[in-house]
Amino acid sequence: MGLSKKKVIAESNRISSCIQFAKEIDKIAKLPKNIAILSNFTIQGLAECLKTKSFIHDIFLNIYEGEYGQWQQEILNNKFYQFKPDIIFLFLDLYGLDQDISFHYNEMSAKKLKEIKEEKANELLQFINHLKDKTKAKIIISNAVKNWPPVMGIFDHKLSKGINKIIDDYNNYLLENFQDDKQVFIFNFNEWLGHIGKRNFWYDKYFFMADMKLSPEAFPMLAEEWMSFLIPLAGKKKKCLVLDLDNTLWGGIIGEDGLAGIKLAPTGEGQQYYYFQKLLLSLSKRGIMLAINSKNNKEDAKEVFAKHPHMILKESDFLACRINWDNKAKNMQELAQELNIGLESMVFIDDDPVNRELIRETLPEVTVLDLPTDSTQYLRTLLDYKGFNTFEFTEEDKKRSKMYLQEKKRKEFQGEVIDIDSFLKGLNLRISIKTVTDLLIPRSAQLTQKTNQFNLTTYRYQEEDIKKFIEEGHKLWVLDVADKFGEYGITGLCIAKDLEDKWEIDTMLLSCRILGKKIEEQFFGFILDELKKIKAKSVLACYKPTVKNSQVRDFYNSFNFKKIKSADNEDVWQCELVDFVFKPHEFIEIIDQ
Amino acid sequence: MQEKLYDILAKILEISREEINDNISPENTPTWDSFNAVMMVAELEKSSGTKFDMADVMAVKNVGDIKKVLDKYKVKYEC
Repeated sequence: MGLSKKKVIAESNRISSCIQFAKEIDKIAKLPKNIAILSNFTIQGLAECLKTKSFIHDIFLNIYEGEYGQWQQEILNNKFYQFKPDIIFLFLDLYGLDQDISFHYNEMSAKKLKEIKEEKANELLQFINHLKDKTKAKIIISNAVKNWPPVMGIFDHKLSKGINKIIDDYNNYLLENFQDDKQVFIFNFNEWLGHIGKRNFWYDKYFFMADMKLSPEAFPMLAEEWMSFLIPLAGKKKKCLVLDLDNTLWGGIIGEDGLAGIKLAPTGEGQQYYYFQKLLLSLSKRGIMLAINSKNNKEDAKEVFAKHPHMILKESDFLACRINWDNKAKNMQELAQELNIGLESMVFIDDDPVNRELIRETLPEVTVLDLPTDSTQYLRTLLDYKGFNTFEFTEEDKKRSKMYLQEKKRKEFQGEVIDIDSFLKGLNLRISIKTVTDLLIPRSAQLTQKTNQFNLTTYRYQEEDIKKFIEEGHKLWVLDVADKFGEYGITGLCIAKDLEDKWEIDTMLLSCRILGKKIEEQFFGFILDELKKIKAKSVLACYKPTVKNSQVRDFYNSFNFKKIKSADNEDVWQCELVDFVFKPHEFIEIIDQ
Repeated sequence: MQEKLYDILAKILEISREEINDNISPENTPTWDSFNAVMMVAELEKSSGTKFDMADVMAVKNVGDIKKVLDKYKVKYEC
């Protein structure tokens, strides 16, 4: 496919880009849906925006645009039905239905206004009934927009028929008429325009210039909004939300900050996560399955669910969980199998752009939501997402989560399916390994204080301790990491003590932010190589288990170390460097210091 | 403006930026129709953060005129 989805997503909010993309998209369209748009104002450019936004959701469109201002004639003409529409948008503006109301309503009698409303509404209903006789297509009707502030100002609502009331009545009349109609849906045009801003997008200038009421800049937004109808039409609605934990369900990292350090509360700090969880629970109640895919110690995560006083979501709200240190793409495939759903019906939510990129590149069928860096915007980002829309809402939908819960059972999976190295290659990882000098002492001490998960011995040191090690001639290195998303900073430390006849790895730690990228292998391999260069022969290394660091239990196993002692409180490993050869990963560039 | 003037015009009018000069107009450029005229206004307003009066927009007969309007509104731009 010549057209990159990434590029389309990045530029799809610009109408001039959509017009270019639509030409390319038409060339590769497969199994298109037939969309008819009938309007009473200019909508040139909308079709291209719809095609572009649909492409992002793997939906292709054939679009029929009715003749300008002739929506009634189109409906009455048999030719229109030869197009075989799957969905028809009646995109009408009340101003076009009756140009007089806005500026004359204050001279008209209530009776006259009622007649106008009913006449206009009934005329529309007649045409819709005709449509329903002729086609099984879904019919989407836009409601009436309040164009301008009322001429009568604050007195408008004191009138028995103020303009706002006339429009509300008309809109409610439409709603009531189609309440139980499975074929007809209302597009709440007035409310949508309110959200995006009438002043900027329902724009008098273009109206008077080109009878174009809606600003062209708003077309991509309208197309995005209409995905609410096109996703269920194309059978692409999503069933499952897969969530990360740290900095997604709560603020902070449980493995580092501890239960008391997690930000999650009904008031004050962490409020945004509390509300985000409320939304997730609400989605779960309407039948969206929830699942977890998180890099964490299972016990840490379970502790939050069990003990945090403000958790809205309980562990039992999740139908499947992968809380481990495996590759998240592998976890994702396992979740799909466990829940017995397709990857294409899953939506992945993670604050970490690296994980999002991993899923996007290795499992393109999965929808990846781009969470903004500002956690206060999580709520609206998910509310704005259109993929959960449905034309039908059955009892079964409501029960779905429950049904899965009953069927829930664990399955074991093996084998790495994803080629992780080629993914990591795309991250442009760069590390530099620096000998600890005075300037780096504070950060080195801080790392020993704060790092819990990837920490082989968990010795805590003060700045003075670090200084003393340097003075005594031991070797200390820190690790500086960057990738294409930016700098991670100093995120690793290794302390090797000179015991004259051999060396001992006193401290080996990495911040959890950089895990899962094989950086630890590069870092430690480099250090062993350095020790070999200064003629070290033998290296000792300890693993001291804590409640947090089980993931590194066998870390030394992969570096030719032999376990020479195994006890409850420590494992001791030894390596003869004469047998060691450093094989650096090609996808991690080591910048020399 | 955030983008170069000719890049914006080239994209909307679907011609290469090398073909653009002050004399490009609706008469010699079939893609310069009323819809694309609105598109140019919208994109130029967005890129410059300025709103143009309709009278100034309607006075534009060619690319040279667009530059005059930008100058009138003290919009800094590159071609």
